[in-house]
This record gives sequence, C-alpha cells and structure tokens, in this order.
Amino acid sequence: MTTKQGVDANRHYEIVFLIHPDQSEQVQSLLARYRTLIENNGGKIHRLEDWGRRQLAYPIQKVTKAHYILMNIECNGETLDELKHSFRFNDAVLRNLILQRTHAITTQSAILVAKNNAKPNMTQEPRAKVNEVAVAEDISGIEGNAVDADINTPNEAVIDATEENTTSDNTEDK
Amino acid sequence: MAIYYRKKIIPNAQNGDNREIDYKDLDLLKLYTMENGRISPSRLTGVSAKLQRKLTRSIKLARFLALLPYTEHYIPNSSK
Repeated sequence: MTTKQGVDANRHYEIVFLIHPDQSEQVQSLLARYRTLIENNGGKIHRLEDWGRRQLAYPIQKVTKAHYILMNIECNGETLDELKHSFRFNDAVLRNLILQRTHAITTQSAILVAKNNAKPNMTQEPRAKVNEVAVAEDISGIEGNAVDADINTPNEAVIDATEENTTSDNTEDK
Repeated sequence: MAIYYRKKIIPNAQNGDNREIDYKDLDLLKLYTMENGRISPSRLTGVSAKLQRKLTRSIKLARFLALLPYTEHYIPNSSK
C-alpha cells in the first residue's frame, strides 16, 4: 500500500502483543530482535512497556495468563509488514493488535500506572497463583512468583527510560 | 420513557472528566460494562451517542486483548 507521501513515510503505530507465559524468558530476546529490525529500517520506538504476566479475562489457546507487551513505534510499511510476518509465524505470540496513531505517545499507559500503584499488594499475588495452579491442571508450576517479580521491575525501569526501535505486525490470530 | 429510568450519572467527559477513552484504561471501561461483562446501554448510563460509540470500540478492543471478558462464564482448563 503506497502512500502519496512516498513508500518510506513513517507512520505511528501502537502495538500490543501477547506472549505465551511459558516463553516469558524469550521476551527480552524477542524485543531485542524487533528493536534491531525497526532501527535498521529507520524507525523509532517511542514507548515500550512490559506489563508482565497478566491474568487473561478468558483462556486463549488454553492458557489463562499471558505476557503483555505494548509498543509505540514509528516505522514504514515495509518494517510493519516484517513485524506482522514475525507475529504470524512465531508460535509464542498468541495475539497481537496493531493500531495506527497520529502521533507518538510516550506517557505511561493506564495499565502500567495501575500496576505500579498496586506493587505493595504483590505479596498477595502468590496466593492467587497457587489457586490457579490447583484449578488448571495442565499449567505446570513453571510460573514462579519470583520470576514475575524479576521480570516486571527491571523491564519497567529499562523500557520506560529508553527509546527502542521495534517493528510490529498487524496480524490478528483467530 | 427516560423518565421512568434512573440514569446513573457516571463521571465522564460530559460531566467534566477529561480522561481520554482508551482501551487500556480498564477502570474507566468497567464503569460502562455490566456485571456480566456486557456493555451498558447509554439509556442507563446517560452517555452521549458519540461517547457511547467510543466506549464501545474501546471495550471491544479490550475484549480482543483479553483485558475484559466477553461474557461472565468461562470453563476452566479442562481437556487439551
């Protein structure tokens, strides 16, 4: 789809994608890959948020939690297509959503704000997870509470502070 | 007809609340959904048509991302 401005015009996109909870460790490498993909094509990452593992409102592919990533990027169509392609053929990505925006957004999203405000209550989370493991038989006890805590804090500190380039695709699974 | 309905006035853009309606702002969206997850009709919430359209779109996006449920009952993981 060519634009009148030119094929290489950079547009702003907002991308949210969900990663299978068992692949949470690969999130960083995935993000690094997307970063290089966007940067190499002259794009920019304006906002990158890692919401960590969240409880899903309904099971997706039989999992009840997923690792959420939010990205606001500026890139051209070619980069976006590559990102879409990588979403489609990456089994770890459960779902993705790409929205076009008119400008770059760098403020913290409401979900991250709520998460940061709720940090004092994190000690209660382990109890909830124990119940989930009991109910959901096919989820093994991989989801360590410590893992979540480790994933959440460093990511937020790093991600909010830096600008990274990642590309995203508009494939919608299901 | 509106006389017989009690509109619950929710702080929203009409009443001075200037929060942008965003699919990520779950606290705001939950005000406009019913207990079972359904979107509240504007005749109950007293929301303007324009706002109702924005809310609906945001709620549906949030549902797609599993931030909000489509319905209230989900069977826990049974068989593979």
